[in-house]
Amino acid sequence: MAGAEEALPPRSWENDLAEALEEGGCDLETVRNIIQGRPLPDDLRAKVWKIALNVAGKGDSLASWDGCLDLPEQTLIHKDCQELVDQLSVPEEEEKVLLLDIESVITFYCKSRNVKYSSSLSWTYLLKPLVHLRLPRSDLYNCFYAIMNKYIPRDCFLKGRPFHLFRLLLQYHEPELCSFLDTKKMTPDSYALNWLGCLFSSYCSHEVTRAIWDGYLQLADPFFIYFLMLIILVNAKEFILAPESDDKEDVVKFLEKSPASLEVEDIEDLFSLAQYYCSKTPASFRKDNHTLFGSSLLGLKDDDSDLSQALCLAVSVSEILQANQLQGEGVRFFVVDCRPAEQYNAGHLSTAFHLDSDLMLQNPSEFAQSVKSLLEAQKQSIESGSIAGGEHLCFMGSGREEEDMYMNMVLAHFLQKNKEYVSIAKGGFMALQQHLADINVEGPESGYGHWIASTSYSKSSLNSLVDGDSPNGSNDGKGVKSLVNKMTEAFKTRSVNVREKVISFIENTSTPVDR
Amino acid sequence: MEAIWLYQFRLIVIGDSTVGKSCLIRRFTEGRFAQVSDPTVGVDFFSRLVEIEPGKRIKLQIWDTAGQERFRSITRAYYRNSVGGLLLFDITNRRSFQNVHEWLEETKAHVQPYQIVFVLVGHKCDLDTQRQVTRHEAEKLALAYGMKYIETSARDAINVEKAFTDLTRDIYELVKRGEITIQEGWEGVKSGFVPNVVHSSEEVVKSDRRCLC
Repeated sequence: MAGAEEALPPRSWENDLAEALEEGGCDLETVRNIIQGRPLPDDLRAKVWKIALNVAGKGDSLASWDGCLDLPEQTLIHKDCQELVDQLSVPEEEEKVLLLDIESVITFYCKSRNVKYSSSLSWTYLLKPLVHLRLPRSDLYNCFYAIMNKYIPRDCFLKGRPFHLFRLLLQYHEPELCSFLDTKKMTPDSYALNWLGCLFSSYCSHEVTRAIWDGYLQLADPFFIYFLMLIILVNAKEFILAPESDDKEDVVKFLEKSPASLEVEDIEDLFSLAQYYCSKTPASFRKDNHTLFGSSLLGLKDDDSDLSQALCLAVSVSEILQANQLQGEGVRFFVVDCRPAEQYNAGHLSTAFHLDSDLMLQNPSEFAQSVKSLLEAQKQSIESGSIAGGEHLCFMGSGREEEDMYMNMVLAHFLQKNKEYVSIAKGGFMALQQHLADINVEGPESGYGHWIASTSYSKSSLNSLVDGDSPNGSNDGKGVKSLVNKMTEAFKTRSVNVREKVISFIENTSTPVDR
Repeated sequence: MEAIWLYQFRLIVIGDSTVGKSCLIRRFTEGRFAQVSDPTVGVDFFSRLVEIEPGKRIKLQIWDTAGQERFRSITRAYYRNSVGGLLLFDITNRRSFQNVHEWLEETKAHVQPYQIVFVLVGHKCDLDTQRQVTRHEAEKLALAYGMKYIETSARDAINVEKAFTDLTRDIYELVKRGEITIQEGWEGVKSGFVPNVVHSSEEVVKSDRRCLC
């Protein structure tokens, strides 16, 4: 397109796009740069979607297929496809061909992937926007396959994993709404099953679905639908919380259908709001759940945290460390270390605020005071732009289940109070130590050394002993002040011994503490 | 200044969601009844002193747990460090009664090697007209598991004090008889300060006090 910048009046970005698409071989990045979020011209949509789905130029998967429509559930497939075709206004002579195409796509998909068809899969809804593109059968199949593969999460059924994850996201951003829905036992799968299962196409008008897909497919980020869903839900908040909507069935039905009220003009706002929430969400949300999407069976481990049992969103320790090195934008954490004082003093993330969980048990009023100063410290550190600052509260325990019951209690306390942006450090301090050990081994220059601070005299450097202003970092400015000065020599040392020292450090701090 | 108490017992309150666990605890610790309450997230914590004999006070630390299945893995951790428990069902909700058995299994599996003294509580007894579980069958079930049975109402403040204090007394007796002992690394029972005025010689062993202030 370079060289086409003469910018004569008739020269429009649409022409640029058409030209780029005509040339062939252009990638999504190029296409996105030309489109810049503007509404797609209808005649170019098919090509853009194909590029976005990475199926441009892909061969005909059905070529070698015998075309037998002989599945046990064939009658049902036929009926559902017929229904879909009936909804489209297709000239009669084309209807037959179209019907056969759609039925073939579904049948072949079932056969090749060994899936049993059922209407509840809503595939015909998912196919509808594609059918509108009037694609040849091979492209229709490839697009459908790509969408199933990339955008429809695993276990997208009632009580499935994707919906537990959605609940955690909702809780993270809208704790009050989440708690309200929990109270009424309105789980996300009850209203959002088909939002996710057919990417809104079963509720939204054709034009709206098309506009949503235009944006969504170009972003090429399957997780983005979570934020779209979040916005739609938040948008319905007023209705949900209204005292007169107390019939559960009604509310669920209303919610389920609420995407239907979207208009094409709303889509731009929908996306920019979703972007905003997305930018306020820890990256671990997608990183730790990437197995939800895609065909890879690798890394599908069951031991990976059971989302249905999670108290709140989990954030990886590597993200916490990275986030605190970020300048400006991005999710930044205010880390709350909930381990017993002895463990905290023996070594902790230098930016962490200590909140002793024991206090909640032993001295509720003092605990309340600590919480108050925590929130105050958080506020100050945000205002002062400190690296310890962050509006996202991340709770860190030891990583040992038995001890972390106290942290969970404190965490639950914050959640109960509908505090937003609350997360838990995955694996606790143990994971943090492991992570630091890992990166130190690979490159002692990585610069993470100063992230661990120790306030116990035996382990800390002379300097911090002399630095008498806030001897333990546990009284006044707490975590905020203590960040800069409290480094252990053990971690500053950039030598081959680093690993050993790290390990001895871990050993020294990992003894479970009796309460 | 911390009130003076002889022992500290940790109690846990369990049962299906919406049987009224939090309301019962709030009635006991705060003396009030909340018409509406949000579901408990994971676990919540309350405490209160009870006087079981003149001058002999026990500090109760009460853990309120979420009944919802999804919090089960979190609440499990609390069984082990509890000496006593109130197992609640709602007398107007048969399902919650049928689940009593599962709750006991659940705790049994996670309390090892310790034990919890349970009392079975039929809650919401003010709603007698909507009763779905008879007193007789509840008593029978309690007996089968060696528990006491009591019916309570947080709304009308019926038997709330009694449910907690009876359980506390029973545990106290077991502690006195040495059937439950204070153990290192176990939070179920702790000894507190000996009140100066009272010479309750025998049971309080020099209160190897852990300063809690």
